[in-house]
Amino acid sequence: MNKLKEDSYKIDAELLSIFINEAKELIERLVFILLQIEQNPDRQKEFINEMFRIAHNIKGSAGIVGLVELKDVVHELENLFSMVRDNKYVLKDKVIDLLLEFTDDVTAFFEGDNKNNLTPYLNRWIPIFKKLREEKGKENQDVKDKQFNVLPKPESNSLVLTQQQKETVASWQKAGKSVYGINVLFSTETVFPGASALIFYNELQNFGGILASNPPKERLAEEDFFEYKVVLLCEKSLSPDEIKKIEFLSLDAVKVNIRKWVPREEQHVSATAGTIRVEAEKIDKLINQMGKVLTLKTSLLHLAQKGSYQEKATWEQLGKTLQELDQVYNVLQTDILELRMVPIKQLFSRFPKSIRDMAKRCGKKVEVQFHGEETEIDKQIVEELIDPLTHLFRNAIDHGIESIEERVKVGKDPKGKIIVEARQEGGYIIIRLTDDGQGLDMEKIRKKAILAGTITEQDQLSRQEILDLIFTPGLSTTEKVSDLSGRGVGLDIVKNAIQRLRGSIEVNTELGKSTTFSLKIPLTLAIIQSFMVELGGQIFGIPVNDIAQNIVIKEDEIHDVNGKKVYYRYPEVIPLIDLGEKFNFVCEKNPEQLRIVIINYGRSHVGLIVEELLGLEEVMIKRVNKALGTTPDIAGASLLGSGDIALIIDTQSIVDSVVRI
Amino acid sequence: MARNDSTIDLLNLQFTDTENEQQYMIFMVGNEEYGLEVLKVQEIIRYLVPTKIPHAPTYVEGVINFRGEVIPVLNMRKRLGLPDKEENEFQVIIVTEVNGKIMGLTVDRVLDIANIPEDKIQPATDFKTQEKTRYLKAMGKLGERLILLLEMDKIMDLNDEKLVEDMLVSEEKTDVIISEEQNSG
Repeated sequence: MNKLKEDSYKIDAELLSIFINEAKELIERLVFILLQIEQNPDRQKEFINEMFRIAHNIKGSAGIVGLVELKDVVHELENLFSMVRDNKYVLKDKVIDLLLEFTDDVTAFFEGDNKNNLTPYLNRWIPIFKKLREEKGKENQDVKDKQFNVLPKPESNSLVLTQQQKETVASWQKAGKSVYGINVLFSTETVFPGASALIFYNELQNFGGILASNPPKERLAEEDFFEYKVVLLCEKSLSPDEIKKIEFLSLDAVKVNIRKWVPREEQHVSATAGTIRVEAEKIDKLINQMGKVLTLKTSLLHLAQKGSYQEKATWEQLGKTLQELDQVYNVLQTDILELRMVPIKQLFSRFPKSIRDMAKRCGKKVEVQFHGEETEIDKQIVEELIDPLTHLFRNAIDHGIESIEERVKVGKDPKGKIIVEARQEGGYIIIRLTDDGQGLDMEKIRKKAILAGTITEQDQLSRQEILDLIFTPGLSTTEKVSDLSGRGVGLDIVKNAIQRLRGSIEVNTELGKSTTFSLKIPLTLAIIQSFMVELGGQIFGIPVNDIAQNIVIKEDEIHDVNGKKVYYRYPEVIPLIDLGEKFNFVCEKNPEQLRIVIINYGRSHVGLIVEELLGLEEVMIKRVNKALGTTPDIAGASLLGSGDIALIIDTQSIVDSVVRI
Repeated sequence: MARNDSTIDLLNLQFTDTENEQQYMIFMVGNEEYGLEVLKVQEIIRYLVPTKIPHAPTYVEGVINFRGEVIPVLNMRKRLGLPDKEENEFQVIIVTEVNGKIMGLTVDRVLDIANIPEDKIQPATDFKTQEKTRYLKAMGKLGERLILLLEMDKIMDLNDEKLVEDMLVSEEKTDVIISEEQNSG
């Protein structure tokens, strides 16, 4: 009996996690749609069916997994959408604000550990949605004001930590100590929320140190607020008893919510780990191929039983069947890899909300347009692209797009525009991010690079070479650069992230008009073209995209400069790395014929000395079982036709290690 | 009917067996016999030379292709700080899985599979030098034979450099303990 209970509980937990993953995607899509409508209210007709379907789906599944509160709230939302669909209601500015606010609460609900603690946040929306519907037909401009006589104002006063505070949190967590985010919701009847909050603040100090609060302590008296947020640092985890005490610290609080503090960025990564939803059509294709494999298997079996090894016909039949098998395999391989492919809108839909928030914070108006949303991309790459793209958006909004006044002064639309396009080009996805801001000033970049010692006054650089300088570490990490050129904070990090995906990034600009970042990323991480080389009797693969060319030189062509091996190829000096030495492998080398693979490293090159050059092969990269842990200089392994293993070299990390020294 | 009954008897027997006893795969490394819970063993394969991994700890021989998966192989002699020995015909790789980590262990030879009753197993925490013997989980008596049971989690943790050094030191110490045990017993 007990066992049975355990099992059903297990299924619930599994179902719940599937549901949450799905629902999160749906909510992200809803946010995306709402933002589109906010920019252009006429588009609600086009989207309303989808919005209705989203609400309906979440409602249905929430019921199944037992999240009754969520189901009830979304039911009200669905009613609201159904009125929109029947042209009885129009979604406008403030209602959209409210709905976005609601999506925040739902997301918080999904991410919170203790769902029960969070349900009051959901429940408060039921009357809001009801009221909204009652206001039907009327102008809903003043809905919000009427609304919150009885309800806590869902105006979010989010608590944003400074860089220094973030570091404190990180080091605190690293030391195994606890950090809590505490959210206090005061009743609307509270006469002096400031005073209540101050009492809470003081009492809370008995439990730990207070890192930050919003509104900040010194502004508590002046502000009118209902939601009070605090970040608390504790030496160890709070006991359930202590949590209870904190929950009852303030008499005026309707709800106190205590959560372990998780940095925003990390929440994103964990958001959709692991599962992929696949279209039924793709699976049908696979089943189809499976049928063909079955037929071929049968005929091979038949040959083995009936055929005679002496007969030529048997061998011919065998050859033919194997050829067919090869074809089927190729189709199968493509189909299976396609399972990992998802439309890039899954990536894009993550940004509109944060772009909106960033723009608001900077006091700028920004419109974003996405094109090519159906372009398919490897699910894993989607995850890896979130951070670099966020970085680029932040750059565009912070530094690229001018302030409203400035834009008006130069005769631009006060609303800045960012256009994001995605398209497939051969084995690559091209993503272009263009802002219509002030552009990059070449002369300033050049001067800054000279100052930083990256280039010298005498260097004659092409336009593209100067632009590429913004990705160099020395230039982009210093605060001053961003002041001068208006750009460049951490662009080297973006570039590194893109290179890890075996992709590349380029920038182009027109001063005063626009800046465009172009990202070129392989469609999939799973299969790569690789050049095979030999070292100490083992086969290694080098990703072809990294290779400039292969050369064979004599040992006496290698020069020693400060203990480092270099090869002069006019006008370039190419540093050499002896891979055998680096890996501590015993290699035989013919001093008359040293085989060298030249690797692209930005604008320059680095040579890898190998034992033998073998040839091109298309290989599937496999991860080594996690038991091995990290493998420096090795990106993965692949199985060769012989069953042997070829290790794939992490070219960037090897080259970095030499160039940085 | 009778047949059914005996089947049930047999099932019951095995059931009670597993309550008191654990089945172990017994293997040799150096002069000692070690036991590994049978349930953790996936397969025993004939020794093949693994593909070497650059920068890996010396006791990691490399990786092999095990049913299409690339898994690391540990040399147990080196892991336990014993001197190198030439390959012999009995040398095998025990493929074992612990917490989703799959790994091959190169051992000198596999002896047998045996039940060790729980009351014949003495946890390593009973020994005085417990700090130095943290890789040793327990010792089991199999008649006159002494079977060493290892903490597989720690053996298979390749990232903890300090742990590794500790273990190399502790190996010498345990040798002493064991010989004392044997003398007294």
